[in-house]
Amino acid sequence: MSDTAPSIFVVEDEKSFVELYDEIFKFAGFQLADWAFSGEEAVEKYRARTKDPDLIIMDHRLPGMNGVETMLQIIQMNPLAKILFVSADEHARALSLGNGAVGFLKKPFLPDAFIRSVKEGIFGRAERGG
Amino acid sequence: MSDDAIRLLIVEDNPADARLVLEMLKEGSKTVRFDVAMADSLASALEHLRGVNCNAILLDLGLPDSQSLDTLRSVHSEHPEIPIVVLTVLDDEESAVKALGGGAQDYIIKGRTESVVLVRSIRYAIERKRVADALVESEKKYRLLVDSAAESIMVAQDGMLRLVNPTTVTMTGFSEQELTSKPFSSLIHPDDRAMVVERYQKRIRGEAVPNQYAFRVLTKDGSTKWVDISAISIEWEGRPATLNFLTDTTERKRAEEELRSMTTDALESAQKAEAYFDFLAHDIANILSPMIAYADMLKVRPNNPEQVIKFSSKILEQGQRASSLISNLRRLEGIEKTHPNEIDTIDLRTLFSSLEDSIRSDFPKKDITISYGLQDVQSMNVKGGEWVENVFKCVYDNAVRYSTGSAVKLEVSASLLQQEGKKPCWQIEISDYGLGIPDNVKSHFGESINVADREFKGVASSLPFCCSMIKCLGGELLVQDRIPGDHKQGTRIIIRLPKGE
Repeated sequence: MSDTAPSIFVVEDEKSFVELYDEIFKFAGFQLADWAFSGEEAVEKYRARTKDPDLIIMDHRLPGMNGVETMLQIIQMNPLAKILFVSADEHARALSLGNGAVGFLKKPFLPDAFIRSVKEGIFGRAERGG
Repeated sequence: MSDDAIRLLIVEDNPADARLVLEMLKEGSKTVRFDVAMADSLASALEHLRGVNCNAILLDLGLPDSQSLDTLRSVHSEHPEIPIVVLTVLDDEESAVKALGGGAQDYIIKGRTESVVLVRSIRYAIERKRVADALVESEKKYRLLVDSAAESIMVAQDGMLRLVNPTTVTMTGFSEQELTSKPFSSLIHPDDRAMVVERYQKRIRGEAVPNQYAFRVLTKDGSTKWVDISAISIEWEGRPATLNFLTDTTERKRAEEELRSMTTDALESAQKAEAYFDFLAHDIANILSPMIAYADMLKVRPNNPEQVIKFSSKILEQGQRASSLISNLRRLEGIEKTHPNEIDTIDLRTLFSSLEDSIRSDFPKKDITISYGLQDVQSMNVKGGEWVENVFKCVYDNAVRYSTGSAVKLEVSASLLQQEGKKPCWQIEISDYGLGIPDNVKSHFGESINVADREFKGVASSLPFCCSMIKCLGGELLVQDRIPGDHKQGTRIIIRLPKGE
């Protein structure tokens, strides 16, 4: 893993997803910067960050604060933060995109779609497939 | 009437008196023509009446074959439709007066009555009889209306019922005599009595009160019936009264209530089903997602033996989760249907040690420390042991899953709670130092699984599920802050289960 590999911060309370993301990241050349189990933990960890992650992957249904509430706090700290929602809740799509998320991916998903969403999240749609 | 002759039967055995009457009729009837027939005994009078239509009878009460009021009775009972004017003598006026009560329209005293008065008496008798008959006919019609009405109809006066129809008798179970012999307030449900009586009194006084409302009546068999009343004030026998129409609405109210409760039940079931479905859809998506992704990665890169083993074991793990989710749902369904009664004995040390093993293998990266305060509780006897063990597994899983950092600390204690006036129950407390549960989320517990609460992870491994299970077993699951008032310091789960007997 080179230093230039995009770093991704994961907010997800399901351990199995964090492990899955880690596998896909290795495969696609990304780097799991850190992960948080809850919105509260995510906000604390983000505040204490030494380096901005290239992307934040956010679940919506979390213990305590939900994903959208967590995103709003993070955006307050850094308006440029890029946040990709990955959730099984279809109703979170409009809510997340309407509040500043760069993308929404519905669970379950195929690794290709996930990688594409992550790339779009980091580089924007213009560089898709690049 | 004046154009037609009045057919008159004179019943008189004294030929002189008969002649006198005939003379008087001639004299007194300038405008009226009489068509007169004569009879000198009761028998011949009745015989005549059988064959001929007659407009009026002049009747002497003292006949050879019948005397006094018997004469009147015989004629009147056979021909109630014919008006009768009684002919009497001066010394028997008393009988004549009695005759008026026995069906005669009038009487005249022989030899003391002017001819004009005699004629007027006959004509008045005919007219009076016609009016009286019409009145009787009209009364009959109204009576028929009242008697055959499906509504209960009653007239109330001086706090008593003066008239009740058969429907009132059927509705209340009391006889007409019972209904009219006691104050009507005794027929009203105690809770409505004051209101109904007050409205009745105000209505009698002419004050404005609602004409239509509902109240309850008491029936003879002690049951209560709902009625709708429609009341107006009337004059009854010259004095103020109320006329009341009552409709029995008991059956309608019961049907409405049943419909309402059915609708509510159906709505609740639908909401519950929706909440289940929502949880389930979310859980299944969460389980399927890694399965699909790992399977796809295996398909793309099937040649890395290390990855094949790793990914296929991930798939297996998720498959096992799905299967445990289904068995949990089945358990919940089973527990709701069967309400287990068999008592199982759970050895606490065995249970906690197996829970620890499973939690350590599920969360290998966590450094888990659990301290126990079991006092002298070695085992507990409870209903549905398998369900109880499952609940503990969920609670442990939650406590570790939502602990921050890699070091996880749990405190577990068990005791036998003996509160005064309550059955003894086992109390197990499990405290963690994790993320805690905000108050607004905490308030959802205790409402069984019907938590349309999207903040929560799925049915299969969550606290709402545990709440439902424990509730079905007659116990309770409480969610508190470990440090009261500060949910960020972790959560304390208290499970109380009735001690098996």
